[in-house]
Amino acid sequence: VSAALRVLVLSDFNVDNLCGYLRNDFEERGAVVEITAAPFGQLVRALLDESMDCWSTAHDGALVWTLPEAVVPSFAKLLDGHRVALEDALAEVQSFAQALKVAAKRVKWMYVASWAAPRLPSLAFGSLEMQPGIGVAATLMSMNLALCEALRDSGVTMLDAGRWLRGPSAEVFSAKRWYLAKVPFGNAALREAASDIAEAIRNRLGRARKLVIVDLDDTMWGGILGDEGWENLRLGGHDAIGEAYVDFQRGLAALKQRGILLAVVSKNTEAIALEAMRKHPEMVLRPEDFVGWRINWDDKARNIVELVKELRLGLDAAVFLDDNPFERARLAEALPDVLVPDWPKDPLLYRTTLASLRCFDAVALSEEDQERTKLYDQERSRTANRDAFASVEEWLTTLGTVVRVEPLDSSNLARVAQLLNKTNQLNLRTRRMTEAELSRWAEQPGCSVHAFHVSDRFGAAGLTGILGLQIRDGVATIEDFVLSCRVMGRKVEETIVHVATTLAREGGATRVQAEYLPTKKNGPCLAFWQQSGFASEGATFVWETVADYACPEAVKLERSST
Amino acid sequence: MRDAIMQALQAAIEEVNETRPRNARISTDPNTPLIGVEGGLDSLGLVNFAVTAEEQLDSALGCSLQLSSLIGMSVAESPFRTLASLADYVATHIEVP
Repeated sequence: VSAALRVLVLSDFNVDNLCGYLRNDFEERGAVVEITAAPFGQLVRALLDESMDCWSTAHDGALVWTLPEAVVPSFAKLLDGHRVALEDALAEVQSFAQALKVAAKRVKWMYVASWAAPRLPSLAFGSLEMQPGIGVAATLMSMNLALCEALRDSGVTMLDAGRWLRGPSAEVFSAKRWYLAKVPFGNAALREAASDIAEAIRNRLGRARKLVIVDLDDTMWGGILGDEGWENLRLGGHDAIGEAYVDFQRGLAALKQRGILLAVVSKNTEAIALEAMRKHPEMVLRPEDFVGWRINWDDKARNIVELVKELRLGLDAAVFLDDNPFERARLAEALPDVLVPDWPKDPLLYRTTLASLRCFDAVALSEEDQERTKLYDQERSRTANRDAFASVEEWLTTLGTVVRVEPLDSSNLARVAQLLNKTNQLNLRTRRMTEAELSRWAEQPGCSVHAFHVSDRFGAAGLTGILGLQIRDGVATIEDFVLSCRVMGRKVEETIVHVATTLAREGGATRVQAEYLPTKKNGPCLAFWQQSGFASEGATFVWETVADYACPEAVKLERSST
Repeated sequence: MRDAIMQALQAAIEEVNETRPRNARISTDPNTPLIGVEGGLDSLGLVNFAVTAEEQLDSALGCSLQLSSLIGMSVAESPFRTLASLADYVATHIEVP
C-alpha cells in the first residue's frame, strides 16, 4: 500500500485500541493508512445518516464490528432469559443488514465482523444452548447465517470474528475493560483481530500472496533424502511425525485448490527428488502439482528470483517455507519482499502454522483460481514449444491465439472486477473499483468496459484482459488497459489497442489517448506503450483514428455484442 | 521482589505501546511521568495500562491486585504518577499466594 488509504471503523463499543493496533500493523509495513473511529454510542445512526461528522471525510473502506445484543434487541432479551421467536431476531438482522447496505454505498468496500459470542456468557438455558429457537448459541448461528445471506452480492464482505476470539471466554472478553472503558475484548483478541482485518484490507488492494515455495527435506517430508533414500523418509504410515507431514502436504494441496501456486526450492539432486515425489506411496503432492521447481545446490535466493521471474510474478507474491532457520534468515535478508514466516521445529505443528498464515485470503474465488496450476502447465508447454521456433513472431503464429471480446455484463462483472483489482504489472492506471462502482461507471454516457478472453491450442487462459474506454468530445480516453501476466507478450496487448481504436472510431472519436500512471509495479505497461506505435506526449500516448491500428496477424479476434 | 514487579509493569507498558503511534509511545524508564500534564496516558490509555498491569502482575507473580480501582485518584495522590511510584505501591500492597 503506497497511497494514503482512509478507513472508517463503526462499532457499538470503544474501538480506540483496535484502531491503534490497525494503524501500527500498517505502519510496520510502510503503509500510509488513516484509521478513524465513528462515535461508538450511535452505530445505527452512523450507518444511516450521511450527514454525521464521521462521513464528512471521504473514506475508501469501512469496518463494522458489533456486539450481537447491541444491534438485535431480541437477542438481548434472549440473553436475559426470555423466550423469543427466532423469526423476530432474524427480522431484526434483516433491518441491520439494510442499514449496512445503505452505509456501504458511501465507501468502496465494507467489511462486517460476524457475531462470535455475546459479551456476557449466557446463563439462561445451559444444556439447551444449541436448541433451535431457544438456545443462545443456536440463535447466534442462525443470525450469522441470515446476515451472510442478506449481504450476499451486496459488496459487503463478512469476516469471521470467530478466528479472533478463540480461547477461554475469560481471556477473550475483558470484563474490566468493558466496565471501565466500554472495550469488551482483551488486548490479545484485539491484536489478533487487527492482524486479520489489516490482512483482509491489504488483500483487497491486490496484496494477497499467490505462490508458496517449499523446501523438501524436513519440510515436505521427514529426513534427508540424499542420505536416507525415498523409501526411508518419514511420510505417512503409523507414525505421528509421518502423519503430520501428510497433513501438511494436504494443507498445501488445499491451497492449490484455492488457486495458490506451489513450487519447490530445495538443495537436493533433482532426479532423486523427483523420483521421491513420484514414487513415495504416501506423497500427497506429485510433481504435476507444482508450477515449477529449482532443485539443485545453488543459493536458494537466486533460485527463487529465477523461479518467480519464470512464473511472471513479483517477489511480493511469494511465501517461502523452510525448516532451516539459516535458510530462512538468508532469504529474509536477501529478498525482503518474500514472506518468510517463522517455522516451528516440531513437524506436528506444521499444518497448524500453515493454516495460521493469513496472506492468501482472497476477496473472491473464481473457477480460474481453482484451475490456476493447470493454466501454468499450459504456459510451460507454450514456452517449451517457443524454444523450437526461430522467432517469437513465428511461434505466435503457430499458437492459434483467439481473443474474444465482450462488453461488461452481469455474467462477467465479478471476474472483471477481480482482475481489475489484482492486476499490477500490465495495468495502465491501476484503478481499483468494486463491482458496483465499475458497473456504474460503465453505464455513464460514452463509457464502456470490455472483457477479453484468450485461448490458444494449448488451452483457455480465460478472462485475462480489460479495456475501459470513455469517448467524449471526439476524444477516446483509455481508462483501463489491464492484462493478466499469464498472457503477456502474446500480441493480446496490441489486440486490445486495436479494439480500443476501432471502438473509438465507431464512437466518432478522431483521437485515442492513454495516460500512463506509474506505480511501483506497472513498468511493463509503460514498456508496452512506448513500443505500441502510439505517439508519445510525455506520459500520454496518442493515436489519430484516421489511421487503422491493425489487429496482429497472429491473433484471431472475435467480437461478441452481448 | 521489587525488580520482578517493575519488570511486570514495564511489560504492561510495552503491551499498551502496541496500540499507540510510534511517536507517542511511553518510555519504560521508571521515572517517566505516566499521567497528568507531562504524562503520556489519557483516560483510555490509563484504563488499558491499569488492567494490563494487573494481568501482567497476575501472570508473573500470581498476585491479585485491583489497580484499576485507583484510576480516579488525583494526580498528586495517584500511584500511577510514574512506574516507580506504582512499583512502590504494588510492593507494599501485594499479596502473593
